Amino acid sequence: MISIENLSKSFRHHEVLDGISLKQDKAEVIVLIGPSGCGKTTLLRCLNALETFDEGRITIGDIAITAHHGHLSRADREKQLILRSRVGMVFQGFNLFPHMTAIENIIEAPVTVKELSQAMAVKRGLDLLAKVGLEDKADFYPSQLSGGQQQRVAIARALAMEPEVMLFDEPTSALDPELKEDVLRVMRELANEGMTMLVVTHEMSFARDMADRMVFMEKGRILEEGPADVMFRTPKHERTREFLKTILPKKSFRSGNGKPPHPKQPTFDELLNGGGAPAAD
Amino acid sequence: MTSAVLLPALLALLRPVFCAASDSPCTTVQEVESRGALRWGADAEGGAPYVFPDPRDPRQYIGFEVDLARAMAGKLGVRAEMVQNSWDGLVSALDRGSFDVVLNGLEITPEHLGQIAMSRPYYAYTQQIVTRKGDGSMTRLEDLAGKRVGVLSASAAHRLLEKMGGVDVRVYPGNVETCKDLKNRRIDASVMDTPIALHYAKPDPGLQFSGKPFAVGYYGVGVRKKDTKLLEAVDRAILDLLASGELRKIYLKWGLWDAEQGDRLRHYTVVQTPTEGKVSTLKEWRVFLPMLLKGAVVTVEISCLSMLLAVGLGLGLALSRLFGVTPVRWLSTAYVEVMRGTPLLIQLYMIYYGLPNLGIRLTSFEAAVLGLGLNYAAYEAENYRAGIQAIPEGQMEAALSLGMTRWQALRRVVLPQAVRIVIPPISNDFIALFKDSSLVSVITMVELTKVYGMLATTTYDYMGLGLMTAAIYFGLSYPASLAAKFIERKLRYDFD
Repeated sequence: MISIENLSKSFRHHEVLDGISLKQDKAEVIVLIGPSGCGKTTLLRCLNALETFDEGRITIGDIAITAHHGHLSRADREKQLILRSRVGMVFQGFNLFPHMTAIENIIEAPVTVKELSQAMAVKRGLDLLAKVGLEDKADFYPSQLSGGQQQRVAIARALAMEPEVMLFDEPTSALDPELKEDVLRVMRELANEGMTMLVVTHEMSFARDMADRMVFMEKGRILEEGPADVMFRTPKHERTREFLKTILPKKSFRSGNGKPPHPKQPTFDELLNGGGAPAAD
Repeated sequence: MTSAVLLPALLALLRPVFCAASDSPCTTVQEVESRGALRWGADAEGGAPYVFPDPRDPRQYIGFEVDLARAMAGKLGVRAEMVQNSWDGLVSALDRGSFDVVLNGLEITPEHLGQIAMSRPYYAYTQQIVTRKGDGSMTRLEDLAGKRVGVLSASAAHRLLEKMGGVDVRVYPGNVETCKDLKNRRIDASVMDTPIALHYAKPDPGLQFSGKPFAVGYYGVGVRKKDTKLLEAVDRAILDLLASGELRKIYLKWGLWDAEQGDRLRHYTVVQTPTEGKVSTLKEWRVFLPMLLKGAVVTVEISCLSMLLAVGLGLGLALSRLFGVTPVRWLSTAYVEVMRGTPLLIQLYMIYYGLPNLGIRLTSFEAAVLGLGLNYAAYEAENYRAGIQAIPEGQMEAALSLGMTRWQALRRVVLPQAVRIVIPPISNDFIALFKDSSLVSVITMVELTKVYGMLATTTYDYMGLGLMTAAIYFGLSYPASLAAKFIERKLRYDFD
């Protein structure tokens, strides 16, 4: 489904992506982790052609884009547009269109890009809103919705273009803990339905439950990859282990104020032991 | 002893200060003498052959009235000192005390006599019809009916044609522009005072005098009514200059002497009955308000059309500046900077009087709309640019990630949000443009401010007319700003 070959990109003299190669099968869910500045967001943006790359090749379905010395051929530039309409993207900051209601946000691209009829687009849009649990919010403006609701509308908006692949760029990190779960639930459903998903997240419960594979990136390279539980239990690299430690809640935190952390968020020890909180659904 | 010497000297020093206060016992004559200079008010802009900057040495004023003022001041035993003042405002400025006399082609008319005192005439002028070379169809005043005729603003010809009616009168701020437009076929003929016709039209190979001069009128020196002593002195000076032949010499030098001149000046006896000086235009609003409103219609038409042009062109400029390829970006940036950095007045002159040299001949209405529109487009472009740049980058990215093209993203996502941001500055500019539109009177558009100016210079009721005019401006601009607020509220989407 997705094939990334030897992808490189640098801003000025800073190598952001340094020869990334990754293959993703249809319906596979990959969780991408790594310290900030490791290039995971840039990689996602390259896949959606929001960012150009200097060297390498990206193939999604039957569309391949190749760069040489930072140059794309004219034909490849035109392919970027098709690529974007086949790849859905969910942003950390939601990026809903504030001047449109929820339903208008959702039908905007199907109507202007796919030239779907207004009535048809609204019908499908309402189905998508129901799917993310917001059927009663169709006529609300983004400013009238909570962060979690906004992000679910954003997911519905991306799904409205019927993408073959969904990219998630830290979809819950701008949300309060109690709002994250609604968004994660929608993502789990999507994964269960067989959507090909590439997810940048620090939600390790999601990674443990849903990821077919985890990829750890550092300094523009893929340091290691493998099944989530294997990486949690026996990280090959010391750097991976250190990073996992920083993003997973500690046991001491749990007993700190007597209140357990979020029920769906297992501690590092629980993850290492394969136990902890039960998987959702 | 010392005090006996010093006191008169001190008094002499203080005298001008005392005299400055009105109704003081000492007269303007004494003031002139103690100053050693007769201050005469005139407008040197487009003032040939009366008074104008010497083309060979523009720091120096020349003209037959400069010579006349010097000769007249000489008779009073003082220097002549010219004070520049716009012609329309000479009478009011005299009243305010900006200078001692007006000496600038001021006609002896009942209106002027109602406001100020006037000396005996120093020149008898007539009216002359001027047409393009070879056009002999208009030799009498009656021939001008239905024709487009250019006149100098507030001149004798202007009043004459207005009174006659049935003539499409075009009012010009200067004589050069009148001749230019006559040759450019924007007007069919012009009626001018003979000194002007002799100086501007006679030497022009493209123009000719049509028919005989008519409607004799007289230029006199304007003096404040209370300055009877000064008036006497001026009258005496004029008679002396006439008797000694100095006057004739001056007029011969400027090519203004004619056979009847001497007799007309000598035998001037007509005492015009002054009309009641101040007209209360507020009391007679039924007469004046419709005239002002007619001007207001022109103002509204020009403002709305030019704002439409500015808003459309401004958007194009902003988009090409933000998203265009390098040369396009450079060009639109240059456009914005040049149009913002040069005066609107000069742009209007260039569009209306300059473009005909390149074969582009616009009507004054077209030129007004184009000039204001092109100028304000630069400001609107900057408003749009700020508005577009205020929209977070994530909006464009989200739209692109959904497969929309850059243009679709702009049109559907970025611009609708930017519009709401730019409504307040754009409506602000609209109100500014609305008032700036008064500048187009320089290209013969008679809009609200011009109507005000023309009525005020004939009625002298600057206050009453000013209140009415200001009320009309406000009555039009305030609803416009209310409408802008309403639209802004309508487009609101950030609910708390």
